[in-house]
Amino acid sequence: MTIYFPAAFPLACALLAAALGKFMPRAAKFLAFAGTSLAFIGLITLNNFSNIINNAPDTAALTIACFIALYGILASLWAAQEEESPLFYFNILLSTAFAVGAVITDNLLAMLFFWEGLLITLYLFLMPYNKDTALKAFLINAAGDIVLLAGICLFYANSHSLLYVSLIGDNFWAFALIFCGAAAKAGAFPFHSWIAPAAKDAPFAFLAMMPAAFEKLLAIFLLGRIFIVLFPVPPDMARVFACIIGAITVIVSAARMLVFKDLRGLLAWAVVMQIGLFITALGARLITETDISYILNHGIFKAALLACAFFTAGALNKACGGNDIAALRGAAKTDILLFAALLICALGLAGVSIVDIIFIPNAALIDCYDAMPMLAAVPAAAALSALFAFGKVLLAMLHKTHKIARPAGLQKAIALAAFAPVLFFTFGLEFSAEHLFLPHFSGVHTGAVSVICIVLLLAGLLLAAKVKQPVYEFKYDTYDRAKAAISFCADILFMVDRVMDKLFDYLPSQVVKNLARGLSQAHRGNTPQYIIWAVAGIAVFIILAWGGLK
Amino acid sequence: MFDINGIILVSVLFPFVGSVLAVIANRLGGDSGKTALYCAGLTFILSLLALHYTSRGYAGGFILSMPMGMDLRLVGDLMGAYMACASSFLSFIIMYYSQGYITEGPYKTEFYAVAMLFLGAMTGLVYSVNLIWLFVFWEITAVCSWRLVGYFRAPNDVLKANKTFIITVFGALFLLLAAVAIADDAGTLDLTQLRGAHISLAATAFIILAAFSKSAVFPFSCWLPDAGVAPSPVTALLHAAVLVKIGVFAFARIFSYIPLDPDMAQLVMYVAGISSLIAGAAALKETNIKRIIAYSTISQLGFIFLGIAAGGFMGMGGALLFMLMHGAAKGGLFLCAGIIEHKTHTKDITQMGGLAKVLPVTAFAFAFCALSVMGIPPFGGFFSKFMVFAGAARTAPWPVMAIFAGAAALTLAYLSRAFYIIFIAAGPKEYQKDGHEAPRQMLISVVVLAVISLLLGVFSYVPLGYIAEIFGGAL
Amino acid sequence: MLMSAAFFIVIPLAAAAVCAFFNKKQTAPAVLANIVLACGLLLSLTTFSDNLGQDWFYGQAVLSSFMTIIIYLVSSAVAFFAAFAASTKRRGSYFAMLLVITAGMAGVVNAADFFTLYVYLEVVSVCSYALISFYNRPRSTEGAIRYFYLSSIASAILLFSISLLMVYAGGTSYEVLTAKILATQGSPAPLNIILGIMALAFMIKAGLFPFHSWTPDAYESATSPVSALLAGIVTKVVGTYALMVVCMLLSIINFGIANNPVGRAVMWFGLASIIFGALNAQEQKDFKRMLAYSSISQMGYITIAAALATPLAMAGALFHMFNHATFKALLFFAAGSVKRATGSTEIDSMSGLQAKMPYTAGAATVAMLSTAGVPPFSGFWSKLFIIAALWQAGFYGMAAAALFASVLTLAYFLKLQRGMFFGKPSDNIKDVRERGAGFLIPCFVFAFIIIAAGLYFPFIYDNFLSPFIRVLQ
Repeated sequence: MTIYFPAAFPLACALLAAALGKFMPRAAKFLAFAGTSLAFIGLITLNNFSNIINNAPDTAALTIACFIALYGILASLWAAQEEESPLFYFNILLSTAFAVGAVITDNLLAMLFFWEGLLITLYLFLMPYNKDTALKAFLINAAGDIVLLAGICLFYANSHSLLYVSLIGDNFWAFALIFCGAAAKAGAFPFHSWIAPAAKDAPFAFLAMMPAAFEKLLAIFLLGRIFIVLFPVPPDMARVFACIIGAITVIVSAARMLVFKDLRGLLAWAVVMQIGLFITALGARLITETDISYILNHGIFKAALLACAFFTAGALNKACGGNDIAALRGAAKTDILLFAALLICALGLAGVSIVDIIFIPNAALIDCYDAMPMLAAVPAAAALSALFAFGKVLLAMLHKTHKIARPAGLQKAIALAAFAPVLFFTFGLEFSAEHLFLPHFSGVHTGAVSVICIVLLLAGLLLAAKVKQPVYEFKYDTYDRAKAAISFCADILFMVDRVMDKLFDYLPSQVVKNLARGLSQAHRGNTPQYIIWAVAGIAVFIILAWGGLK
Repeated sequence: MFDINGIILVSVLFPFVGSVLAVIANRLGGDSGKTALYCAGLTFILSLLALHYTSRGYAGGFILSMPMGMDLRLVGDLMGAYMACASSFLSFIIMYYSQGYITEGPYKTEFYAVAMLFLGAMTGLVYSVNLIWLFVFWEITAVCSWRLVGYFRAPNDVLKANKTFIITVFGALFLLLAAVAIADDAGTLDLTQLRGAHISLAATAFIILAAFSKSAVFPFSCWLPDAGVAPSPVTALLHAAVLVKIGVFAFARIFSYIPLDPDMAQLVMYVAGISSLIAGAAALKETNIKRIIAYSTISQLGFIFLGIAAGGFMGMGGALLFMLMHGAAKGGLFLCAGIIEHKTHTKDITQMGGLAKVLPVTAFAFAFCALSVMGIPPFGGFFSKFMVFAGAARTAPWPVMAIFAGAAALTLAYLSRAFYIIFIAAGPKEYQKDGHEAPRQMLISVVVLAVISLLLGVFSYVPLGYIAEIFGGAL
Repeated sequence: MLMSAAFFIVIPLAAAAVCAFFNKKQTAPAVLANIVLACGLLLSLTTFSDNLGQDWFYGQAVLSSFMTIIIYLVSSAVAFFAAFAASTKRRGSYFAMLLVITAGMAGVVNAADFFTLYVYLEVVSVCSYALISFYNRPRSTEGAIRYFYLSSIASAILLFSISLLMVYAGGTSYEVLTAKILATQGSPAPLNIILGIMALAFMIKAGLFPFHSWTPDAYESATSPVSALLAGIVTKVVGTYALMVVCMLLSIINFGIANNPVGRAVMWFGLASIIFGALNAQEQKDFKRMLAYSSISQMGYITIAAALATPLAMAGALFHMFNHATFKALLFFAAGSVKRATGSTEIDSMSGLQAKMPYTAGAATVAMLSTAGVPPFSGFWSKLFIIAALWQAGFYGMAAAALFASVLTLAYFLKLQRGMFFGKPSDNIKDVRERGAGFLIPCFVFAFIIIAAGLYFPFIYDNFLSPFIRVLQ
């Protein structure tokens, strides 16, 4: 049980916040910061003592957990400027506790326990802002979790153990279900439709924390576990399966990104796109070779990018009074740092490798091309779409204007703090599986494909292609479709139950009633009738008895 | 130290005595309700003691010899003590709730007397290992359910009570026939002597039919939604917490001694799966709050049957855990429904809406209990659902798994829908928030059950420890 | 044995003569009848064990003694009830009749030969006609006449078979008969025929389907004490007791049910009665008529078990006879109380009687549940024995049918409960109250017996039934 102590701190603080929140709101804020910080410190400590504690998590898990705690700290600091409700801080603490717990635990059941526990915090986060969206988010994530549950149960059935053991042999369904469950949390198709509506109403602290950082990190963690530990030899269909899901996700999100209305929506679809890209690259890499230990770095980088982007957007929102293009005009002049941060995040999200110095993200394109030339279109489309959308925003920000900015204050600082990991990664920081925080620098790399992308981008911007309307018309929400389908099936099944109920009510009593009525007709008080019955009875008796006597 | 034999015997006898005491107390001018409450409390304490002793390895029981092998045999083993604890605890909470719900009325004494009879019969049933006496206690609970469901005495209520009685008796007679057949084949009615014996396919089928009728599996489930005409504590007691568990428990008990034929097990899984699915669909479409929760019960009972049919430690253990978690959570849901009905004087959810402001405590309790039923951690229902699924993944064919996954999804859907329509969304009527949400006993009961649902999840190692000991297995 | 049997027959007769003299007195005949019958009950209980071991054929002594106990139990309860319920001026004649019929029944069960049995049977029948039509109402006279017609046919057939027996075996006593059985072990056919004809007569007397037609009219039109007596004990003694004797003999002759075609035929009639009685009771609008059909159904159970004639079946039949006596008598007493309190026994005319007459309703509920075979009441155990016996003998279908007829039984009783007792009190019973201790005490006594025998059936089993079984084996 000792390995859970980093998660125990935020949990305890959550309970305290729940108890004290009504009386001392500021205590909740303080507790949020304290709890998440303690989690972070606890994780570092755990790493130092990992050789003497049983079942300690490995470095990869610890790294991810540290980042989770880090973003928890940043989110609580951010929210301290805006949110007053103690429920929000309770949620932050509880989410941090559960997310950290999910990552550092050593068995699948506990991991699932913490993983699913996030459903409640997700709902509680969104509930004060929009109840419908909260319900939608809850149901979609819960459905994804059922898939994960089924997968883990199948895994257990084949491996007879709930620990992280390896399963050899072709277990496609166990793999597929766990894979889908992991991806579903991060927003892969078809579990993606809650993120955009949530982004409309929820505060930036939540957005930076949950969809961007936590869920990505958790998904990466579990995907890593799947490919490295659970299924060291992935089933044959695995790679194709991953590519297909990734590709669909990317295409859907890329299309929706092009028609964004404000920075929130844009970033929401960026979140979906990243997980799609990630999965596609994973699947592609598997086709060509089987070494995927870079997952850790790639994933954390992307999560950091998204979180930073959201924080930056939030700071811009505060500074400019809004985050649609109109509000953001001229922001670059007033706040060059935020603009630079957003620029680098955008380029990173698009996978452009001029600025993004690490070898890895560009490799996505190359991997896909190597796996199947057509597949390269996927990352290319993603890059194009991201560049186009972000490009519009950035260009808007570069406009001349005399707008007076409101100071963003601490939030700007936080955004920049979030930017720090991005920068480190950009300059080649890499985590290795053995040591925590031991960076080394890789070289600079440019890719021809990236140059082509930028050229195409400029061309597109200049031509100002009108792709808006049809894409916007294409509203395909799996949630609504699923609701309609379930409702239809439920009608049919309900009818079956009603029919059976009527049958039970009607049939026995009618049969018996009719029989009884018929029989009592024979006893109308008519004495000769009685005698006839008796005589008939005597006759039957004689026949029965005589037949036997013969 | 108390003697385990004495504890078992007294915990079975005492509620029967309590039933008589309740009547006498009423005659002497006292309160039959409080008598029943103390009696239920004492039974719970005794069951806890039994649990404590049996988990330490003490074995015991009570035997009353009767001719022709129909001895009354009560065996105090951990499985029985576990179930007795669960049932008596839930009965105690529900009796406390009734203090606020059934305050006056001409049939109050009969209510409490019959409820105590029911508790006694249930406790006798969980300890019985003789098939005939299993049947005797089974039928006593049926008689009690008849009187309790028809409490309000309106013609329609009595009609539904009769339906309940007749359908469950019809099923129970199959159990009797099975007992007669087993006695003829194997020469004994005692389960402990039948360990490992093989019984005829007909007898297995009869036992399954009996369990299906008592535990409301489609198509024998149509009595359960109709029994919603009963008062809320009755529905909670009978149709959520205790009575419907009789069928599954007896099924688990019998087939923990006698091996279950694998083909029959698969048949049970399929029928339970279809029942779960249909009931889930019905709950999604219904507009009467008690019927929704009743259909939910039918759906969840399908999961318990899946666990038992799947067998193994995960399956059977999961099923037993499910009985506990579901009893607490579903009981809580029905009791909340009672509070809602008390406030809004209707059972139609289309007439309700926005009740979260008016009934905050109830909303919170409903949410907790609903989350447990849905199987969301950190509530207790998560562990039971996981164990049942894990156990089933080993032996169940994949269509069964798919059906039950669908039923789990439906659970999410209908409970969210119910919670949403009743508490969150705005309804046609505005309800005034007055200081008095509900009588104190009713509120405390639902809060206790909601908190228990959470605690059972967080401290799940406690019941899991007992279950591991029952089946001698490990995770 | 003869000594004590004489007591059971002669003393009631003497008391009857005394009662007849005090025709117009209100209390004296009632008191005398009650005292005599109560003493008879005590005597029969205490001398039960003395009578074991003196059999003419297997188990007959135990059977007679136990039947005597049941007879006196029901008769004394009826006498007690009638002391309060009988609203006639001619009390002396009434109680005299009661005493004579008791004496007659005691004679039937203690008879050691068929002709004596026939004589006492006629005594019982004549008294029954008189009691049914005691109040000179048109309906009851009609009921009595229908009973008379069918009963006469039965008596004629019985006399015919007795004469055949006389010719074939040279005598009608059990002694002669057993000797003849031993002598003709190879060719049982003539004895089968004779006993078959006798069984037919007794089936008519018992009111089995399809000879049952007189039963509903007679029970409905007679007053409650008389109906209780008839349904509770008279039809049992003249019908099923005698049928049991005949079936035991048939079983001995044919070495079991396998080669016993007459027995099997009787079993079919029993099964038909069970189902027919239960079905017909569903649609009845009158409490007593429903009870009549219920009686037909329960008689069917006794018959099917008696005809099977294995030791377990015989124990079941005997136990069920005892149980049926208690619960049917209780139900007719309850009907009488209801009639007296509300003026009618129509099921639809009132509802929610439990609120006004809780004790009567409670006792009636106990009896109804026992009839339906619901544990923990005594009716369950006797039905269980019967079903188990049928199953063990290989009659699986019959066992299942007899078992599921319990659902039908439950159904009509639940209908009765819903219509009469278990509901909201209707307006027309606002002023109804319990009728007083005299109506309730017999109900309670029987309810106590039902519950006690149900909770601890070994009390009945060990004391009364297992001697019977032991001897049979």
